[in-house]
Amino acid sequence: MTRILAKDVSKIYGNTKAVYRVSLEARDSEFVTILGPSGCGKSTTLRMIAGLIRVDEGRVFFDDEDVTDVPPNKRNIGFVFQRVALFPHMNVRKNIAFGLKARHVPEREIRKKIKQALAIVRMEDYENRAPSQLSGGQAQRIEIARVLATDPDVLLFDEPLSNIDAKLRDELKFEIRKIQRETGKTMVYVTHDQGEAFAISDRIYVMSQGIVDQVGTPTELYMDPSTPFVAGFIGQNNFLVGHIESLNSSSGTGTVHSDGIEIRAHVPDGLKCGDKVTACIRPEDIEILPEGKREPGEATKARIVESIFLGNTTRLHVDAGGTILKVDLRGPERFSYLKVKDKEIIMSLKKCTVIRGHQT
Amino acid sequence: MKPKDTERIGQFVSYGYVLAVSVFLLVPFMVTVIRSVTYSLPDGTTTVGLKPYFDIMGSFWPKVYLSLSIAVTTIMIDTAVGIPAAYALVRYAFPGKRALYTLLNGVWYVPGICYALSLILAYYFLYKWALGYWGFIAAYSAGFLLLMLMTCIVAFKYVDPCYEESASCLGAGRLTTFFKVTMPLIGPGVSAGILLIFVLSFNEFITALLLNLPTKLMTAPVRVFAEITRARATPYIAAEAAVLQLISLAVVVVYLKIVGTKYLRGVVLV
Repeated sequence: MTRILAKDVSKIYGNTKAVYRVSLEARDSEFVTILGPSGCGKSTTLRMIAGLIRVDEGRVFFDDEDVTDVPPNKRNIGFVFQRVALFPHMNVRKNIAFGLKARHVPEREIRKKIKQALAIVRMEDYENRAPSQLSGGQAQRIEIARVLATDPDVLLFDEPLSNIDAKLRDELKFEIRKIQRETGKTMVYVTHDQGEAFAISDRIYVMSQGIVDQVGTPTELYMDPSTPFVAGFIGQNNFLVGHIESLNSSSGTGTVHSDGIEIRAHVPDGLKCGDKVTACIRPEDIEILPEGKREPGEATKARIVESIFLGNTTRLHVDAGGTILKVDLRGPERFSYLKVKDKEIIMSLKKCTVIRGHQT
Repeated sequence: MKPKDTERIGQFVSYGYVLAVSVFLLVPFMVTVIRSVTYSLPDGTTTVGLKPYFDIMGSFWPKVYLSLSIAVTTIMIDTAVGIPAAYALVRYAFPGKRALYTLLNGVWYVPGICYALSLILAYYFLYKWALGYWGFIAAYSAGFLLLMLMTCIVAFKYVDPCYEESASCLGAGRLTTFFKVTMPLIGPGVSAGILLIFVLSFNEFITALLLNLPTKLMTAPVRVFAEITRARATPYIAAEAAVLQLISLAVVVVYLKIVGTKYLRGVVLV
């Protein structure tokens, strides 16, 4: 069990800051995910932790040891790549034995460890298969077994499931989480898939444009995004750009004015009247009030523009004073608004997160 | 006409076409072989037999050995030099890399005689120490290195760097990674290079002809050329040419049997 610490690491290509002063910590036995869109620098950060890319600025520590200048083969890491990197000229057994031989493990021990590693990924019968005889999911499982066999201090995953079909991806992500729990290894996992990150991570680093936007548990990121980017990237959101109209400093609540809509919400510290803000409202946090029922001060008039049935939800697009908002209906209520158009409704905004600045 | 008949005619025409192309390709080889076994007896009558093959043995075989020896040595040197050079060219970024690739491509289009002359000027006249056999080898190694470089560069380009990175993360050092992972993966390129260098250097004629005078070394193809200019197409010369053809063919077939065609994609038809 090892603590990983990347301190202010940067990777600069010419004038492009691929990664800029990123600090990341994965504590003992922690499952940390770097989440972000493609090109945000998440893989570059992981490859710097692995030593596959030279760090231009900053240091990388495994426990208290500075490994910044240590080559990958001396770091005792396990790295699972996006593309299956099983050596095509070796069968499964030889592939797994490769890392053990590189570590000068005695032959008898190697045989034992191969069996153990294959048992962990439930692939005991595939020892003599060639990589070309494995499906994408099987190959990625063997890849994990190959990495586990060497008993690495840390496990690093670079979008390991992105080339696998959806159903298997779902299965494998929980398997990876299970393996992490059973082995207690410190893991850093890179993905662009929010669902994947939420399902398996202890903590998530959200990256955009080479920097870390926000760090937190999945719940923290979802409930309390601190930047417009995180609010937009994590889950669905309605963005209402406007300014703070009034503020009650004792209760910390205020009113945000945006294109004719007044929204009462908790206002973060440091904001004052007139400041530009973005009010973020998740589609499931908008409630359509039954006809006749109206809560004074909390309700907004709107008109249904479109209704889309998505199975477990019905997505409504509603026009509230010129602003189109997304509303998700769940439960039996979702059937009452099928094919409804141009209907006047009254809705209540149950939860709203106010973020400094304007979402673009 | 019934559709079945049209189909039959179509089949007949396509088979006929393939046959005609095959004959067109094979006739020169067949004529050489037929000429080599058809010879005149002292009484003026013509007969068929292998006598020309037995008659050339004493004088022609040393030239064949020389050609084989030059081809094998060239292959060994070019493999040893070409693989690391191709690796460096593909894996490392340096200024002027594209220009170098263009230059390497350009060498293919230099007329053979000009290229041969340049090689001789460089490795024979420039370095007097390279007189004789090793001068030959130097010129051939330089001349055919490009073949090995090209095939290996293509092979390295097709090897995903993630295999090497993966080996490194699994704890393997650079040398282990190179010999256990990279080398087997570039096998197709290396074996294609070896085969091409063998066939082309064993039968190479222009450089060998120019080097014949100063080095006094005569390779098998030069010997055939010299004989043709001196005595025209006699059964003996046809026998020598047929021997060269057969050796090339035999080596290619044996090589394919040992190495297998899967490592020679794009170089042989499978």
